[in-house]
Amino acid sequence: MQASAPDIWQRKNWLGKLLGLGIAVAGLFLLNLSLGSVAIPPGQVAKILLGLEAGQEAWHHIIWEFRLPKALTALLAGSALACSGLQMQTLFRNPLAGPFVLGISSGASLGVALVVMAGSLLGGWLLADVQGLIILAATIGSASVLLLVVLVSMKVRDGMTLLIIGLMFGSLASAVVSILQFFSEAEQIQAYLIWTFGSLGGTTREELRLLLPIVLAGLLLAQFLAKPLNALLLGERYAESMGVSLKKSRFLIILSTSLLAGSVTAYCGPIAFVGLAVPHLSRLLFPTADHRKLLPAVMFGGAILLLACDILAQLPGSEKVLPINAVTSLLGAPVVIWLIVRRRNISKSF
Amino acid sequence: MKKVSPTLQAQQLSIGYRNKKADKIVRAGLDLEVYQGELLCLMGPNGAGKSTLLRTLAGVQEPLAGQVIMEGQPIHQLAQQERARRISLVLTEQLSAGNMNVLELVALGRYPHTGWGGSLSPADKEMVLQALNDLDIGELAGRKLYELSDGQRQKAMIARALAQDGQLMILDEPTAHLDLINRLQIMRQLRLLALRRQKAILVATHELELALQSADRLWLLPQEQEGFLAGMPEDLVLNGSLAKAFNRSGFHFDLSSGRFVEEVEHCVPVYLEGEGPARHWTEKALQRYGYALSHDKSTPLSIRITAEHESYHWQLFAPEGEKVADSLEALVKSLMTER
Repeated sequence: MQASAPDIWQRKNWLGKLLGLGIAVAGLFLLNLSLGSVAIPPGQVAKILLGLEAGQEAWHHIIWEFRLPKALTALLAGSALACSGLQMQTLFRNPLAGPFVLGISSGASLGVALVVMAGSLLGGWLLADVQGLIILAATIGSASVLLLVVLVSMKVRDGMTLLIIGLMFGSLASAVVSILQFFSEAEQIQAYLIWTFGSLGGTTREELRLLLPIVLAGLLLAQFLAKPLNALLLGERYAESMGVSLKKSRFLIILSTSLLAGSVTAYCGPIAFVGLAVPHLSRLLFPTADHRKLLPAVMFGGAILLLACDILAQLPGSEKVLPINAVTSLLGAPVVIWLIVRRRNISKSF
Repeated sequence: MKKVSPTLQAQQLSIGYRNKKADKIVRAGLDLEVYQGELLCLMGPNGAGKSTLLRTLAGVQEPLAGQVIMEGQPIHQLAQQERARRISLVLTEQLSAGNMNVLELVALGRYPHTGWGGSLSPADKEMVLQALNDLDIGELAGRKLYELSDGQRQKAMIARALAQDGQLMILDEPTAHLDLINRLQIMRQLRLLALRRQKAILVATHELELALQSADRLWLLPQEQEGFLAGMPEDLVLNGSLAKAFNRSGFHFDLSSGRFVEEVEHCVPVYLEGEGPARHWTEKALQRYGYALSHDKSTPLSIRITAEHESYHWQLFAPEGEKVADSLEALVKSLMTER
């Protein structure tokens, strides 16, 4: 049988699925704004967002000052982590890779640990603005690990070496954190632990002004990398033979991942699971290897997962908020296990 | 005859690995040429430097001395994308891109020809379809890679390399792990591609019989440092180069069959009477068990093949007496007891 011209190129149903995901994102976003310790009807939320008069005066304040920054943070963080996870899985051809394989979160936790636990040794000067300082420390920590990894990536030839070096950086960082913990007071250790639980609610509107452009830049860069990412699916040697400049592509992929995962970790703490699982879930939903289709899919998928987890984490109707990191895994792990068992084998779709 | 200029050429090429202390030279002083429209088979024992040579010719590895010239330009000075437009590769490594389908795989071959987004122009799509059809895998276009058999996957990889549309295609052991029919098919398709699409195709292979059958020219890399031989397969057989290149104790190259056969010591002479395929296969069986055919009718051991209604019988005449066997297995057993 001869392959005939137009019919085999027509596979547009992914656009429909993507549209479905987009609608889900919008719906969950609205739901996320309306649910919380005080339930605000979605219709009123829409009015408030449009700048119209709605219900009580306090609602305006709640939406604009608290819930909108938090929902936006969830949206951005979910997209960013899933997108960097997909890039890492493709770059290293490893289904277990995620945004943090190169030691980004370890670097950030080292930075935070130094501020929270070693800070007291230097004196009480940091008590003034702990939140801002933690963000600064996490940023510096993840940025310096990433700088090291990028420098190394320009030297080494193959990805596996890079992966191992990333793991080693991670071990080094956690060793230092352990030593710090050993010499710290209980309160400081708790403050550090709370950071590791992750949090979406800590971002203020001012901080979003920084987070938003960084994440958008990282996501945009990723879209430009779809072509080399596709070639890298065949392995580095094939990619090279097709004209991919390995060093340049690897540098840009790591740069995009750093912007995405680094900034999110700095503001929200190390949010696990999303970056690892969403690419797999997306591949099950979109049976393609084409990153031009997968990248938008994981961005929407990540946003959906994190918005949904955040709704559950704030336990609608109560004052209590669960740590987001626990909820993502608690909700996500069974879903992934169920999908894998149903499809028998995830390595086929990877 | 018009002189055809080679697609790729190298003079006094040294290949090997750069090292801080001393370069490790695998081969030196290689002169070679590749012409369009020819299927070249590179043969040589393991460790002779085949892969290093392929990598150097593909421009992935720098030569220690000399240059590989393609259309007047040294390939190591070409930009990577420009090189990818001229040379495509099929490697030995296994793919693990399960979610990819054959169409996506072959379309990736257009990589060096598309813009930053990688979208295909109508001409690119035409090339992809043509490559699928050239390899007879049009009906596999929508299949996932994990659903393919080894033979189908290899054809898809060749189609990808073909869609890349360089003048030179380099394949590293494309028929390894394949069954006989797939091996024959792939070599035949490569031959047709060289001929019809006027590509130069260089194949590293261990399949001597396949190479003798299908290659326009052979390159031989014998074990020793010295010596690189190129020529038409038949010439290399007749002048003894092939036998020398693979010379190992225990085997010798049989000129008439074009195969390496086991050397058996202490041959026992046997006179064989009979004709046709039965004679051919009887000879093979006897040779394996250390009997040599004699032309002397008075040899103490003699065998007569009789055929009736497509069933064969072997009459064995030995000093101890006469026996009849109805299969070669039975014949060999009787012979063994005679020893």
